[in-house]
Amino acid sequence: MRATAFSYRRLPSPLHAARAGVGALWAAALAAATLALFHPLVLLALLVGVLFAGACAGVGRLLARAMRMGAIVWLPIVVVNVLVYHEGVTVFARLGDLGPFGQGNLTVEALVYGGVIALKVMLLMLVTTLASLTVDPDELLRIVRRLSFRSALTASLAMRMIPVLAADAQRLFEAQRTRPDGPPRGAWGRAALLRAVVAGSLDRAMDVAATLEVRGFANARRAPRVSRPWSRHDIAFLVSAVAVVALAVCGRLAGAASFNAYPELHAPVGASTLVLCAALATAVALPFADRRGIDG
Amino acid sequence: MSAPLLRFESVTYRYPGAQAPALSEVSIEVQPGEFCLLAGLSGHGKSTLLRAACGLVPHFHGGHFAGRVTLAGLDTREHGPARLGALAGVLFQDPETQLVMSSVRAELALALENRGHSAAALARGVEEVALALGIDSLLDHTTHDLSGGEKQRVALGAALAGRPGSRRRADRPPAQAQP
Repeated sequence: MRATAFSYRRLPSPLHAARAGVGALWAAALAAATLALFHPLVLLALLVGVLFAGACAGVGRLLARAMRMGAIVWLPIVVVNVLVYHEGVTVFARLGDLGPFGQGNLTVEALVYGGVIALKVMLLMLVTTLASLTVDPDELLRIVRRLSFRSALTASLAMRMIPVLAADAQRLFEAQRTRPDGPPRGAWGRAALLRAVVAGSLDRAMDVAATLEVRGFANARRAPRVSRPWSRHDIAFLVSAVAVVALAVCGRLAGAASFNAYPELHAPVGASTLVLCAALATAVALPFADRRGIDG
Repeated sequence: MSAPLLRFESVTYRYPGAQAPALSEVSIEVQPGEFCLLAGLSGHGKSTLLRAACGLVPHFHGGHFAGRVTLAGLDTREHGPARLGALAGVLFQDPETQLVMSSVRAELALALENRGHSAAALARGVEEVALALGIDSLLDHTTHDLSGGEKQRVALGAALAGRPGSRRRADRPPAQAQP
């Protein structure tokens, strides 16, 4: 699969229509809520909201693919947590003495807590992917440049290096396929390809930096401010971002999203928790309801 | 005869850590309106010469530099690539590393933005160069989706933006470009 498949493309959706600053703020609000909340049901509600948002923005398949690819990150979190943490009172398997790791008592609490952390990591990955697919990076870069030149330079280089290295890997792979004995197969072949791409990455980064230099990036003056009236999509996503953060804060303060894993699982599901779940999912999804001017 | 646009005077340059110089006692002059083709074997300093002409050598690459290069009267030892970039566009060999932004429009606008052009001048400069190179239909495309030839033309457009018809130096530009 081409790495550039996960790059921004302008699609007809309310999120693409919103200005980049608002889109980034909305994604940051989702990430903040993800970090602030621990109740599994509330996190699941957020997950549903994010997946629904992805589908409405026309990038649902890519989000699903990112979720599958993310399994190499979040799945080990569950396994490691259950193996390393022996807190909790509900033992479901005894592995005996594990030397420096102590007694290998695997607990339900460690398993659930690992699952919650994995869910948070997956949500953060999905939110980041959604933002990278729907927020115009050029417009965002212009905003960042007004705030910090060095950060903008780093961001420019990093953003450009992903497709450059992906294209390099593709070219190397195609060149290897033309050999009489075909490309090196399996993990060894992939490692060799990765080594070749990484070895050339510094030179490629230097070339991109040289291009930025001759385009006058080093002497860049403050980018001109382009005044643009606020659209209803800008306002809708801004309100949604504020609502998501407010709900996350209220949920924590009111105890509606309280969750403890150790020593015993404590995840009450009362009316307030269910209301919080519904409100969060609605706040995330509602800006997509207004498609006036989007669908032709 | 008018003053030369580009002048190399006994230029010797060695990359950092290199034993042999990439350029040795090079002296050339290019007059305004002159079309020059520099030919030579691989590894014999053609790209380095181009980089010296736009100030990347020595400002960006470092190393040991002797002699003098002047571009439109500006000494490249005193003026960096950003300043010289306002006078002459540069097109390198690989278009892949010369596209920095995500959309073609933003790519063509980058150099103009950096030079502090107003929003109206920026829009005009982008449209002019896009029409001149026949890439106006690509303006709203993402740069990832372009073919090699299209990328080369967009990179050329970015080098020319804001100054169609002015000087430009290119390092093997037609390799992927469409006729």
